[in-house]
Amino acid sequence: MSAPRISAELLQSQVTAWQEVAFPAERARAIENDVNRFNDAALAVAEDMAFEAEPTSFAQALDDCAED
Amino acid sequence: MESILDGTLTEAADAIRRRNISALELVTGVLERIERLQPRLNCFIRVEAGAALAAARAADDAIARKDEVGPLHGVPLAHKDMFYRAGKPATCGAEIRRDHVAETDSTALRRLDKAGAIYVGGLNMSEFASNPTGHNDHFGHARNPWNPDHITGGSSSGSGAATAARLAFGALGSDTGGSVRLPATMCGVTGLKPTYGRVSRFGAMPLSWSMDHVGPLARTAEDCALMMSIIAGEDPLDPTASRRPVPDYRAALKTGMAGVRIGVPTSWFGDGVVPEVAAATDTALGILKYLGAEVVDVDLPDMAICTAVGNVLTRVEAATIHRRWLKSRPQDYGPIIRYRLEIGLTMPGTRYVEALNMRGPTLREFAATVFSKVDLLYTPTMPIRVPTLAETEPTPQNLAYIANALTRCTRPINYLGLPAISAPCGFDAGGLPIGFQLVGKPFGEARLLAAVHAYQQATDWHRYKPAMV
Repeated sequence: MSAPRISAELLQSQVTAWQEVAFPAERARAIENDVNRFNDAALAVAEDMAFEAEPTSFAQALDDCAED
Repeated sequence: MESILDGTLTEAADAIRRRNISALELVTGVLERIERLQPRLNCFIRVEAGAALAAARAADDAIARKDEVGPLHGVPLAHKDMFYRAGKPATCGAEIRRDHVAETDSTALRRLDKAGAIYVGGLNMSEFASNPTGHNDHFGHARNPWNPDHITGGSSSGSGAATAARLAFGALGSDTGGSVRLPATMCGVTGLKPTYGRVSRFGAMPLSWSMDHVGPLARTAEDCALMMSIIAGEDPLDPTASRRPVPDYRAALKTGMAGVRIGVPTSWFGDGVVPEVAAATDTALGILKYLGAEVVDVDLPDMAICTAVGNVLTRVEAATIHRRWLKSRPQDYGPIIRYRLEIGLTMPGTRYVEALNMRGPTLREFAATVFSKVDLLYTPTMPIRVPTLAETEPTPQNLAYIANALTRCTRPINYLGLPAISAPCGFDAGGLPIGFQLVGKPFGEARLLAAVHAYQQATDWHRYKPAMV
């Protein structure tokens, strides 16, 4: 499953508007593939777990699985 | 004198305590070596010779008065230049922080000071601890003491190089995707990334709050155990620091390998391992088996998930930390870190929350799958030979390839928050070190240190030193 494609134009407008960081179109184009790759990788597993994953403390999981 | 300089942190501390050598002699010897080798290695950003000599004289005075002294009394250490000391510079390897003077004291540094360690200087590092090769365009690249044409690994580049070149008996590093373990393996020293929360990060430069770990690099597991016994433990200044009691790591070194179950992964960690690395790590595994370990194959959950989702956390958190400077001083970043940070500005908030929410369940699945069968997981620290600086000069085009090749075995462990140690186990045909990695259960540092200590009692790879030393 692929995440919806995020275009360089959308990246540029979002970063400029939301992050207030100057983000020329050529820089947005350069990282467009990387952003979509990360999105795909994260979405592939996250969607399956969305209703199951509890926002439980990671620290609690470390304690529960700890060396005796 | 030479033999003490070339020996271990534990041996140096014992020698001072027994008055076999003075702190002043030891610090003077280290400073002379730094003066000789720094032009070739560039592993220091700043040497604090005057302060170190003054501290050494004070340490000797304390011994003469028969004061009670700490376990690191008079031993020279140096640390990645991102651990803050109030009133002192901490460049973080970055142009943006070149003139920064810290306002707080790092908890880890403060604990080492209290134990009597002498601070020799700030060590080179990747800009803002952000790349695994150790390249640094602002302060120059640190060089590998085994061959200066090769990378040290990063981001704790100076920590690996200085420890290997006997310019410090140990060093603090930080590890967000392999930044303690990679320079440890590439420079032929021992490096421990503790469990998330085992060592306070207060006063250490943040790269990614969820993925950052502070840990020691030293010449042996015994030295790492000594440093861990000082720096580990709860800290009211760091709410993520665990309140679990700290075991006696040095006492635990004696537990050995008998009955320890070691798992060899059937997937992910063996992919792309070059023959020389496979041969050296297979031989080391055979020695651990000879020492009493039970070695079995173990199936893993999909480690690609941990890498991909962990990268979302790192990118977004780093971009959040740097957003102000990305806005006001973009020209002062090196092109590679700027590229990596900008990716984080573009990630949807939902991806970030998913990555956080999945972390606990993913760890529980990993523990149920792996640690129900074995005590430790065994992998190479890095699947390839130590590359040259020229081969790994990063560009936006090759960055992902280089990062994936170097960090394949280390990065997923950070998302899981598990402790992992890297130890030297041989050399490639070019004379560059090879290392193995052991991964333990949460808060299982004592077992990791004991395993590597047993290995280092039976082998002498950790005793080799670079020819230039």
